[in-house]
Amino acid sequence: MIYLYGIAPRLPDLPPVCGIGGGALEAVDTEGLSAVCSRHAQLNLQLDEKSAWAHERVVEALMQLGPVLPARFGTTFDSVDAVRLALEREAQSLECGLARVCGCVELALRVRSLPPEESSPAADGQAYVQDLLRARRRREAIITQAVEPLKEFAVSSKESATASGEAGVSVSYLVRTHDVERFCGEVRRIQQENRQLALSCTGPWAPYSFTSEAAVS
Amino acid sequence: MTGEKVLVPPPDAAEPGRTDPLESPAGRDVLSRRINAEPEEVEKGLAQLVLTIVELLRQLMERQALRRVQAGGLSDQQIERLGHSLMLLAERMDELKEQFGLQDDDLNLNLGPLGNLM
Repeated sequence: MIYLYGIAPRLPDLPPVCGIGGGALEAVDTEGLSAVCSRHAQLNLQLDEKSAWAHERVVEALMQLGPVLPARFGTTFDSVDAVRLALEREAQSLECGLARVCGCVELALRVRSLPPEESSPAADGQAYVQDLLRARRRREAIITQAVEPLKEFAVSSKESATASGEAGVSVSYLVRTHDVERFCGEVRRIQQENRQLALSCTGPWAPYSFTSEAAVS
Repeated sequence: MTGEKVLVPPPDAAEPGRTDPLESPAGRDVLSRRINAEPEEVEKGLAQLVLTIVELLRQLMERQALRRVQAGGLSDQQIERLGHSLMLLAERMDELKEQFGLQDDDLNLNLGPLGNLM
């Protein structure tokens, strides 16, 4: 089984890190691309902290070398030939994807309202509808006050789904590396001006949320 | 190393400076989006897929209902009946999620270029 970490412009060397389960990295190359993988006789993938960081460690090492389209955790192929075939088939969209994320990182923003929503169940149908409307209004306020202003500092953004009735918002921003500090400064400014919101920002991550136009799985 | 990825912690963070990798973009969109075909897990995997579709329809119904309420024209009695139905649906959905050990985040699908289902 071949475990895929990410795709990069053709690499002369691999980063000196191990993959999932301590597996050695290898590159499957085409003319202009390298798929960075590890080979496993048997792989019982579990989504746990150790494995997630093992995957992330390889992706981050690749980021140090240049642009990378990170594969989703758990992306596997049956054989090296299958990886190469996928690379050749999707070469154009992968190269476009790499150009799009070049020089950028992903920052993950979470915003929720303070104090937290009361979780007591609605007493009747009217109250339930009012709860839904209130959650929608809080969510719209979050988007106006926090999510929209940050778009100015990003190349692109994608909002993650949240459960209905939940007044929190998660958004991924694709930000140029040299704009990360400005972006974080803006997050702090929004936080200071909106005490009723709780903002948090993590990163820099590989552009996991911005690879979907390119098929890497 | 990668354990420290918090650029701006939330104001009420109990332990600033730590990131849960499973909540990062690296861990978010992953195995939970796939049906587990192992014999002992296939029932849960199938339930996850079916409940994802049911949840999508439930959310669409909820949004449509809110639009009708906001547009006005519904009597208090109609709003009560509508809200009561939605509340029962949400409760039933919570029971099914608990029965199959699923979280809200499990009931979504990555549609590639189209983004997430919900």
